[in-house]
Amino acid sequence: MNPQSTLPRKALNIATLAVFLLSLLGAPTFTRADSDPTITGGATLSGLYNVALPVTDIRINGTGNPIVPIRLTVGSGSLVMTTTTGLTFTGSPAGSLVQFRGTLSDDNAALATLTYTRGSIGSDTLRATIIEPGINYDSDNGHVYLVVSTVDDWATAKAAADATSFKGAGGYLVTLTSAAESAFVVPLLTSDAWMGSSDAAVEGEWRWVDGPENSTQFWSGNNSGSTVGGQYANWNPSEPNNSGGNENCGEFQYGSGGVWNDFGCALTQPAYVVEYGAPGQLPAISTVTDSITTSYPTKTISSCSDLQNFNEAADQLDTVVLTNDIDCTGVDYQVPFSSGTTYKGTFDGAYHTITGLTANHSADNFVGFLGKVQGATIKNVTFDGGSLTGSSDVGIIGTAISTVTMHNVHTNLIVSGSQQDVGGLIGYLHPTVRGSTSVIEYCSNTGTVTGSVNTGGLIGWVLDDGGSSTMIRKDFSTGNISSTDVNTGGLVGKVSYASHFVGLVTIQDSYTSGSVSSSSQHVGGLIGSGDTLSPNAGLEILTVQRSYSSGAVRGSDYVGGLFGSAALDPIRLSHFNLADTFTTSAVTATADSPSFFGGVVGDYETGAVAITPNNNYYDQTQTLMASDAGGNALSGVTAVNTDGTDGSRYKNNSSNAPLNSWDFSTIWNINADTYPTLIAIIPPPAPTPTPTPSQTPTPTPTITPDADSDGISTTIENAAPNGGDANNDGTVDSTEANVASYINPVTGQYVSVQLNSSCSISATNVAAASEKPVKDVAFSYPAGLLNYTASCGTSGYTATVTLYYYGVDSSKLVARKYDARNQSYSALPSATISQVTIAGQSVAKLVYQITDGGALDEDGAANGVIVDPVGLALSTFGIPNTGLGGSQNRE
Amino acid sequence: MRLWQRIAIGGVAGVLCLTVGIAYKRRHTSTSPVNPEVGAVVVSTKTPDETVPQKRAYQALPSGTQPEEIVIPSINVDGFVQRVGIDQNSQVAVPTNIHLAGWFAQSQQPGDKGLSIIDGHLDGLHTDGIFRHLVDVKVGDPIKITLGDGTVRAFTVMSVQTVLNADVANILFSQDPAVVSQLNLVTCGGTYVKTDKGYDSRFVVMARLN
Repeated sequence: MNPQSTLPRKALNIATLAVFLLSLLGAPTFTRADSDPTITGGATLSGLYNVALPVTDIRINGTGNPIVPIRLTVGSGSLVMTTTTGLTFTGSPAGSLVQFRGTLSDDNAALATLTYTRGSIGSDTLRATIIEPGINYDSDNGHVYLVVSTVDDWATAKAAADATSFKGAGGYLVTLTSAAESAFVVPLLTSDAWMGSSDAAVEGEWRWVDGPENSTQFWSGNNSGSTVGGQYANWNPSEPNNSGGNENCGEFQYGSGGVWNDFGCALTQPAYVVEYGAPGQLPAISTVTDSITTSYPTKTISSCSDLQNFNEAADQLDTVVLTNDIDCTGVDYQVPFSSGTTYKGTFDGAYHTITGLTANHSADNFVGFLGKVQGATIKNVTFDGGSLTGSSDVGIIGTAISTVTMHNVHTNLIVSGSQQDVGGLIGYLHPTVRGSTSVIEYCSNTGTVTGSVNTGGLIGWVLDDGGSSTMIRKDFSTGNISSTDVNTGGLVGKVSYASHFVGLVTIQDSYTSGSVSSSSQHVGGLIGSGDTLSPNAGLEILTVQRSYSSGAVRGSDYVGGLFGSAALDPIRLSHFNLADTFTTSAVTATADSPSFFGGVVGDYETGAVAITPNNNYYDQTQTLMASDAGGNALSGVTAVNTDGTDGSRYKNNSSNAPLNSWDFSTIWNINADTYPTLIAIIPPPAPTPTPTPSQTPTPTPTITPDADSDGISTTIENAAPNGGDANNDGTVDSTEANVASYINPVTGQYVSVQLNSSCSISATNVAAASEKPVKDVAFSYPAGLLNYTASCGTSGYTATVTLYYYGVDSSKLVARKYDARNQSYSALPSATISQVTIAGQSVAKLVYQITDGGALDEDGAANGVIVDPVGLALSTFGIPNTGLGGSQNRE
Repeated sequence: MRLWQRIAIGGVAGVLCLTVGIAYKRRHTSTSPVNPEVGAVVVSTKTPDETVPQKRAYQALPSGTQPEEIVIPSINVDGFVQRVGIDQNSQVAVPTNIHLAGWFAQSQQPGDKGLSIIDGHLDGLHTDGIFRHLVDVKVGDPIKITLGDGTVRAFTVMSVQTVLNADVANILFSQDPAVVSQLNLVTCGGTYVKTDKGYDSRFVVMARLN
């Protein structure tokens, strides 16, 4: 084995010329380093998302000061070095892949300034390797792969591969022994190519015939054959087929995703793949890995002022923890996350109480402790005293989108909404993510709830719009619930399904005891109404188990002790499971000619609905109902206390059905004079008197960490170049709502966003392009993709946007934008890019126009709010040369 | 056009073509004098084949879901599709026959979610190429792509434009945010510049899946 790296001999003449010419273009060649430096590191690091984390443990060790090529890679974040003196970069100097070469001392000086930034939380691996750019080194197995683009038959290609070596490891035609190895090699292909497999010895016995797996059979048979001995194979489904009777050598089919095909050995392929590495003979490459974890910052709140400064731009993803009880008495509470942004983090009350929370905004939607949440968790907090008044979407959480988790949350607030979707805990719960689960558990409401359409003690409306699961368990509501319109329930006003996937809403081990009344229809002790909205609805399952209601229920039509209605028009529920429940709720009418009243349900739809009630009971005397349903009778429901002598059968008892199937050891309490209550609940506070209207709220003390409310702290903006005036307009950026200046985590330098003076920026950040779900095939983004949200007041407004990128050379860059609506990239029309000097620093300047509701506005609506992710892009490859001039060549 | 761009474009058109190998691969024995290329092209050539491929000699692609044929009725285009990748000059490669179109295999399959790119010659050294009359395509014209398994993906042209070379990459790889599946066609346009041995523009057609 030749210890020195050599090129395939047969193609030497042409390849020599090719290599020479390629070297003029800076392409890599195999050259031994003058010394054998090594790289060390291997730290475990942790930091916050979107904050540059110093990575200072990686170091090159060696003798002398040789030129050392370095490759740094991360999976999800972005790397940048602020000192790059003496370095030559291949590709971008910042990003998820950074390749450079310099002297050992220059390399170390640069590595000492290395930082990692990631715009999301999670774990990542930073690999640092001493290796030339262009060398395809798989750090998982330590092998190197080379695609040689020369036209050869199989035997010639094999001989050429075998004649080469790289850093002490002999070469051979590639043998793929795992899906992971295939995933590394296939993307290297630019054409069909030979591999080291053949069945020339015995037809149908496919073996690796080169490298350390030489003679190993991996496949038996033709395209209907099978792998042998657990080996890996990745044939085209119709291969191998030995077409023509003489296809005995394996190839990659580039255009088919790199799957395998049998091909004529004597025919030619445009390339072959060489592999270097075998047990005990790996290429001598020094590499090290660091483990990095990023997390959301934790914000502590210790006062009502802190609560009011819950910043929608900066805290959207934060974990928030209460450090003590908080008193908001007298504060005119301004609801966070009630406009464009949703809260997505975790709010942990740490078992503290917020007293006197009062938000009276009768004309507003999304009124609550938090206006809108998305995928958030709210836990271990009690709301004692106060009120929430709004229009629609009113509750501790006004609207919960996607998923929500509420755990050990208790409220006695007086909640009222004049329009729709009003609940003690959540006004509108709207699961949209298929397969997701929302959980509301160990929660309670003891306050009154008053609404119009869709009013519930816990939730006004649950609308499953994605095929998800909503679990409501071990919860109770004892407050009085009332409404002036349809769908009023002790727990939930309305349950609906609008998806053609499987959707589940489940209520378990819960109860209500307050009164539920409406002047309208669909009123139930647990649920006002349950139905399906989508004409293409799939399988929807509403399940209620081991629960009860005992408060009076009153309405005009469709009134029941547990349900006002279930599965009525327009569309039917698929499954309605009712099991192990009871009700003693007195059912009465508000109208003179009521219809559809029942002890359990006002009415339900038969036919397409699969209803499986089992072991359910209603107190005939106390419900005042002779029958369990106003319409068709339910099976699986038994009337009890028919003579009025057994009205206490569910008090101080755990053996009367259905209680005998409940868990009285860990979930339910037996009470001497009342119905069962839940064990694992921190007792909510006693109700406090309603505040009198004459109380005047005291002004909220103001704290201004972000003076211009653009989502960037005053401290950061004041530290911007040019004395805090990064956009060089003569005014300090921290005082301008239309200007936001901050450190770009991708470049480590400042970036400044400027819109017209009539606009206000509410949020902005920069993320690495690698964090987008779809890659821009033809471009990279050395300065990341910049997002911002701004309001310009007038809908349909056309704003001029100016971006200043410090430390970025714009000479080869174009302006592009990313659109999350269809995960696409596009050119920015009429954008201008120039290079300016501000305070002695060279700054790339991007200017373009965007219209609210126009093609560039990602929220797609002319609503006065502009949402726009843009970036300066570097072309990855050139355009096709599709014209040779024709007859003009001969003119 | 900036200096570096002129150098790059001039270099693309005029630099030595690294003919390390021509990516022809004969799959089957054929009596046809021309067996159109089916493999991905890794080497772009200054002398693409200008012989019109015989339709029946064209072999079906091994994977039935690859684009096989392109038809643009309004300009009488009916041709086959090669797979093309990135060539030795780090450019989007062009088909080895001027009468074939080239589907850029790093883009989406025509009709799949995302952006698909197909290029084709305006002309060769001597004769007109498959996209000679692409400049005559109008908004609203239909385009049909037939896959190897016979599936037809139908598109409607939504825009046409001539773009200076410096802006082509940015425009060619742009997808309308309102369009789920988009197909962009490109060929040479503008004026042939003898000193550069190439055209100063490209003509880009953008179409949306019906």
